[in-house]
Amino acid sequence: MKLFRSLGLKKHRNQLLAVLFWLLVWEVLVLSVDNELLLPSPASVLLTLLDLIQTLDFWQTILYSSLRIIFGCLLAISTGLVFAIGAYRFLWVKDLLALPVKIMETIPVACFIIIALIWLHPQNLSILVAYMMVLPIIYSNVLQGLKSRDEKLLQMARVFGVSTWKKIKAIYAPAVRPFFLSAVTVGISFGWKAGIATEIIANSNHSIGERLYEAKLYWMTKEQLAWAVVIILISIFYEKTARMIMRLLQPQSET
Amino acid sequence: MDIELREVTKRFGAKTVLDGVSISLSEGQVNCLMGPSGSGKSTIVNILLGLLPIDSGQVIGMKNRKIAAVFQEDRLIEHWDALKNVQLVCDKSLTKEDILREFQQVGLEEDVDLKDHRKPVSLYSGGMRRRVTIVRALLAQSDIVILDEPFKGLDDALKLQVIAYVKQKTAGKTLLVVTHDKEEAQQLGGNMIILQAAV
Ligand SMILES: Nc1ncnc2c1ncn2[C@@H]1O[C@H](COP(=O)(O)OP(=O)(O)O)[C@@H](O)[C@H]1O
Ligand SMILES: [Mg+2]
Repeated sequence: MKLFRSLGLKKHRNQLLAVLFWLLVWEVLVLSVDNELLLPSPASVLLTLLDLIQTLDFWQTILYSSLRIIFGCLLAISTGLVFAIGAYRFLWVKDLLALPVKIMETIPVACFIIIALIWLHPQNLSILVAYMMVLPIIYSNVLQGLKSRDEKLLQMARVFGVSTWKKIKAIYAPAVRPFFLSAVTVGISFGWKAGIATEIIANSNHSIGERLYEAKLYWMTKEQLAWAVVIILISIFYEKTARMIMRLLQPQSET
Repeated sequence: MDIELREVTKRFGAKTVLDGVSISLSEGQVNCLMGPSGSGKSTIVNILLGLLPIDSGQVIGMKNRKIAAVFQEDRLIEHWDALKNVQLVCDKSLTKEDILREFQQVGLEEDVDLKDHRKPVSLYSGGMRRRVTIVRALLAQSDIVILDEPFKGLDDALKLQVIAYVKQKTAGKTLLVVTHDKEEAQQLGGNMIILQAAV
């Protein structure tokens, strides 16, 4: 017991030390650059951040960006799941989806954004972009998970006449679960990044992207970095939340 | 109606495993299928279960039958406990206590009792897993029971107990037991089918 606890502590201590190390690197760079406009210190960024979080606008901005981007991600997760099941069951679905999925997988986000801007209003574009970025991740991982199911267990189920629902619970779900879990966590952080990028390029009103864009325009470097920190923290928050929800969805008897 | 294979030929690529094999199982009785390792016993089982297509010949009497089986491999849901594995295939009317009583009959009570039944079968020994598959096959609704080397990994005393259990549970049903052990076949009794190794 004691050993475990001290090991756990040690792990966290090392992580903390690593963060301190990088803050130190930052501080050293600050000293050598010696220009608040080019590179503000960690302390002044933190102070800016503390100022920011006291404004209502800060929280509204986060809410605005989050609602759209997370909505796009959730839409992609649910439809990606459905598409993957369709592609697993019917070859024609898989063939039909192959091209669009390939395009979504390979197109650079910025390229897609400026193309989409030709036809679409910038305001809600982040929903679409998050959707397009997350969909192929969910789709291909779930499909891979479905294909990894144990064929011999399916034969067993067929011989015993096990119902489709029980087959899903016993054989398909356990095969898909780890693929789905990693796809969702990776997908959400991808979708979040792409969504913010969209807001910057499209300059969507009241968004985190817009705040970043403005900060850049007026050389408010401290604000820019403070927002970058916020973006990272939110991304971690959503990833952890996703993990937690998935753990709750997992039946107790299955480990 | 008896169950029959008539002049069945099965090839895997260039290799002919069954070359015009004909066998018949007596309905409602014990049938033992014997033969050396590699002679095609499990292939016959898979053909009877409808899991393998044949190259020529006929399979008679297997259409629309309720089948239960122990496969050559355990084919258990590894992360589930023994109870859940059995519940997957059996009727809802069987209670947990009913199933635990069956586990008792094959000497699994110490491992699968109420307090410990949550242990996933992946943590069981080979012999324990085999007995779970036997209980699973015998509690499923069926009129034909096919067991492919079901007593693998059981010591002699336990084997006698499990054989008695199998005979009791399958009385009146068509039973096919694959084995390469003469003693096992004698203890089971019934119709003996000997398979020669294909050349
Ligand atoms: N899916 C398969 N592909 C190729 N060869 C196979 C396959 N299944 C069985 N065989 C071959 O068929 C022969 C008979 O196998 P099997 O029916 O499992 O024998 P037994 O159960 O009597 O030991 C073996 O030589 C085995 O290698
Ligand atoms: Mg075999």
